[in-house]
Amino acid sequence: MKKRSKPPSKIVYRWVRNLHLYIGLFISPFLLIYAISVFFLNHDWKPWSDAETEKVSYSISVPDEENSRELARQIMQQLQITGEMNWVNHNQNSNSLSFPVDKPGLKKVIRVNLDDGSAEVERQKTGVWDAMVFLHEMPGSHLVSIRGNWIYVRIWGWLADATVYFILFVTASGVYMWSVMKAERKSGLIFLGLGVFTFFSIIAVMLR
Amino acid sequence: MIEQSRKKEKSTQNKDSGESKINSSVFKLWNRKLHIYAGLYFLLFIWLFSISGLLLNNPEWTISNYWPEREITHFQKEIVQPSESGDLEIAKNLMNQLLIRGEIHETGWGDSEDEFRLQVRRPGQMISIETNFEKNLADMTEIRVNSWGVIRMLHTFTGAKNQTDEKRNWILTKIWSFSIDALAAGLIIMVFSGLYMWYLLSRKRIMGIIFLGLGTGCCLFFLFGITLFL
Repeated sequence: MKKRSKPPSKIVYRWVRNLHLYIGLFISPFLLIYAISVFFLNHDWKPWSDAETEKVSYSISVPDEENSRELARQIMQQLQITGEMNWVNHNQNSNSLSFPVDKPGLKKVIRVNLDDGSAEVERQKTGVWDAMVFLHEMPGSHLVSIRGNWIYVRIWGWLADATVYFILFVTASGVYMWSVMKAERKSGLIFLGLGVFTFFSIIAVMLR
Repeated sequence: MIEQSRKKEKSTQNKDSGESKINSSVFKLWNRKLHIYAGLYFLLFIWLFSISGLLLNNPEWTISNYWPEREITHFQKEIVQPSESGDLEIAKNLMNQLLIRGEIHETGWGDSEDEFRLQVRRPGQMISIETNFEKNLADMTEIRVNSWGVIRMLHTFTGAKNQTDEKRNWILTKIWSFSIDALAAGLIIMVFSGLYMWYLLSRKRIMGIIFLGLGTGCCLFFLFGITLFL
């Protein structure tokens, strides 16, 4: 007996459903990081701001380097510090250099006296909530010229972009799957319509 | 007698398991509905924040680079010195006189008591105002950005970093900020309702564990691993 082949629409539906499921599962933890950190960013909550700081002093050999960023990078190498370097402040008057280096859940500020080579590293463990906020904001649009100077921030940036493309796929495939479900069509349309109405009314009034 | 009591016990057990089956199928049904309806309701919000997130993450893209294309307009208007006390109240009075709407981001005084300045923001527009109460004049600088700029600004328009006494002093900032919270809560609900739906599909469990494990592994590595080990 000949096996009857499935119609193409059913094959497409099955593929879309499987991809929706597996991609959705893959991005679930990423979505949780983004969604949970929203509450901290949206309300400017920083429960980690009171976290204790510790300071350690070092003595380093000051590299012969004109460029502040490169100087900071070489100092980080000497101090065996890794992380995303932020704005480098080179104070010409006091001949000192200071710059923050961040990692998820850990903030460091490095201050170096370029005359005598004394360095102080201030360290603050900020915890998991700040780690989520850090990942939410990275790489972001600030300090474009130096952003992604740590390879892991660059990799996270690619993952963040991939998450967006996957979200777009998951939402589009979700709409497709809903559209073929007759039982949910009417009530789904009401929710979709309500969402569209809320979205456009808020934006229209805000931009008017 | 024993037979009768056994039968009674069995029927009670059947009744209980029947009830729990109904409860569980009602939960499954509503969980599925919640996943679909929340997804449909938040669809445009998710798209907006996804696309604006891409713009923020890729400042080298031409469309992300909206700032150099901004339009700057300077103008001057006559004002009457507000009778209110308190920076925010003075700023609100001036905004009413100048027909400006938006979130008061910053207020401050100049060298003399006649010089008051404020900055008002809303997605796509920023207005800086410098007033001179002695001359009854307001110097205004308006900056407008293109549609990509508006999309990008909507991503971060929360009023949370205002340098005024009151966070979110515009009703629409409050509404937008609430929408952002609601979207975040909606996403969390969608994630957990989706996980539950997957858990019920026994045939997809192994593949699902692989994909969920990959995502979880990546996130745990970035949340804890890179700080602990690198």
